[in-house]
Amino acid sequence: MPKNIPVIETKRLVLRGPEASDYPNFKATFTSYRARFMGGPLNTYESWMLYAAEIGHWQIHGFGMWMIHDKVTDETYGMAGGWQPAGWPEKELAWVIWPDAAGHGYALEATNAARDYAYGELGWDTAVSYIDPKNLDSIRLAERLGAKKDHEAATVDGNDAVYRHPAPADLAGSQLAHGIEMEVGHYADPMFKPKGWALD
Amino acid sequence: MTNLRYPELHSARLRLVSPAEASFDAATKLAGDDAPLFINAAEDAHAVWWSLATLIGHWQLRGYGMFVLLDRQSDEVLGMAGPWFPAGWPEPEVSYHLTENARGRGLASEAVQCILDWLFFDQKWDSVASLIEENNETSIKLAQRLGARPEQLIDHKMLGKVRIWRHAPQPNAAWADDKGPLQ
Amino acid sequence: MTLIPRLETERLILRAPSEADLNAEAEFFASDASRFVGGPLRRDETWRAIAMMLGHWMIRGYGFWGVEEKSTGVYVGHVGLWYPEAWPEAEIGWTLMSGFTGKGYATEAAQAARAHAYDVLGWDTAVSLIAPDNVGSRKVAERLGASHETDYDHPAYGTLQVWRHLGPTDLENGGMEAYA
Repeated sequence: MPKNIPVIETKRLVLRGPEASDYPNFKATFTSYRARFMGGPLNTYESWMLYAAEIGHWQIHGFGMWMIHDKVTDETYGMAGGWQPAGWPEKELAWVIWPDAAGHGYALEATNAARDYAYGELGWDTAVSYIDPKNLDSIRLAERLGAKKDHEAATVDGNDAVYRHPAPADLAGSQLAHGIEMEVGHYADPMFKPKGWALD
Repeated sequence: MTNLRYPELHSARLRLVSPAEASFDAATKLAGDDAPLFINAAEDAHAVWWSLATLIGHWQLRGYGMFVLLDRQSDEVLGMAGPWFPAGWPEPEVSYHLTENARGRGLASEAVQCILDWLFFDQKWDSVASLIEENNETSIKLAQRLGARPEQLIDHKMLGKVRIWRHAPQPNAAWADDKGPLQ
Repeated sequence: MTLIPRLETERLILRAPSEADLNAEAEFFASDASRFVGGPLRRDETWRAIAMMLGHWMIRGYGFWGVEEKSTGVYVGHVGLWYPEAWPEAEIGWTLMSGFTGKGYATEAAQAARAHAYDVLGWDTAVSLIAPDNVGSRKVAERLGASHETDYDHPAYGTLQVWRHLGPTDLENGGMEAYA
């Protein structure tokens, strides 16, 4: 059981455990139409209880969803990390980006860092992402992370597709890993204007 | 999230601990295979896990929440009680739930009294409610025994028809002597 | 003795008004910022205003809460439900001390007060009375979803705008969120 939730720094972001002060942004997304692929929209009570559970998840499993902050302004952009509530067949790498923070590659940068942490520090040997087949933005992000559809794996409830991430050995030093680094680097470059990229 | 320390309270027969306290193995004690059930989880196999996660998160978000009631001698889990205030609740509510074999021994009033003392004298709350259904005679009797006074009957979207019973600080020798249940 | 419920929002605690708030309130009521809410007042008059807030709870069973910042415990103002003599109907009121405006505190606390009025007290409507040139307060009313309905001539305070809040059913139907 973790005494403290680890803090991860990336090029532009800091990932920290969810705090009470970050809740209003979470609520704004989860009570909106944006949450349609994440079991939402939720009412105020459901959204608050889910946020509480995000925090409890860390204590129960020793891993969980980080809150994504801007390294400079501390503003929150969304959440990313490991997720395995009751009923989840396997450990998932999950992400959510607030609507007005989409399009900057934050989900890619944060989830990539979370995956590195899961593989490097937590010793995961595999990871999946459960994605609604209609959620094209998320499928595109899974693919940019090198995840491939796994038709054999168990789904959460039959309504989701399972994307399996490359195993730690296949990812380390790979062309894919360098490609992600480079893409994140492009986003971090103030002159870079993404064209035709996925929303997240 | 910093490594918060949560209060531990003691009454004559009980030790009250926060499930968010890192040294308390909440997952085994409350959601393990042979953990006592507080809710009828037959409807939803995942309800216990979600309850546990939200119990812990409530403490982290509010700084207070449901305590786990442990037998002071045996460490057996006897129930839960504490102030509960998820978003959408009318106001913070003190409630309690005992396991089957903990009932009929006055443990609920012992636990709730201990928690009320903590809220009023240590946390400096000026009032707190219990929300009780009109036909729940056991809870009404308990509230009355603890000195609570009935207020409005409300029809809440989530809770249905419940009456607000308002607790007030009771003169308490233990706290007055500064030897309260806080460890 | 009426016991005053303690409410809580993301960033604020609403609790009984207290004499301990006198310094903050007296400073506010000595300033020009109090001109929209019956000020300026001397310190002794401010003490009476706090006593009146407590008395209002006794008479009506609801009233103004003293509002504290949760993270610091600092007193930021009074927000609540107000219906003294010469008011056209029961209102949701908010007054923030100087230095605590512009953070969304009034909206956050007023939402909690409104939820208490609708869910606990069973009100089916509520207004806010706002001085015509009190731009800050009007913004709060707008953020709460209220609309300027009519004007009211108060015997002491002159013309006040009556802003009508969304009702309990408007809120349930998802027009706005019912809770802070």
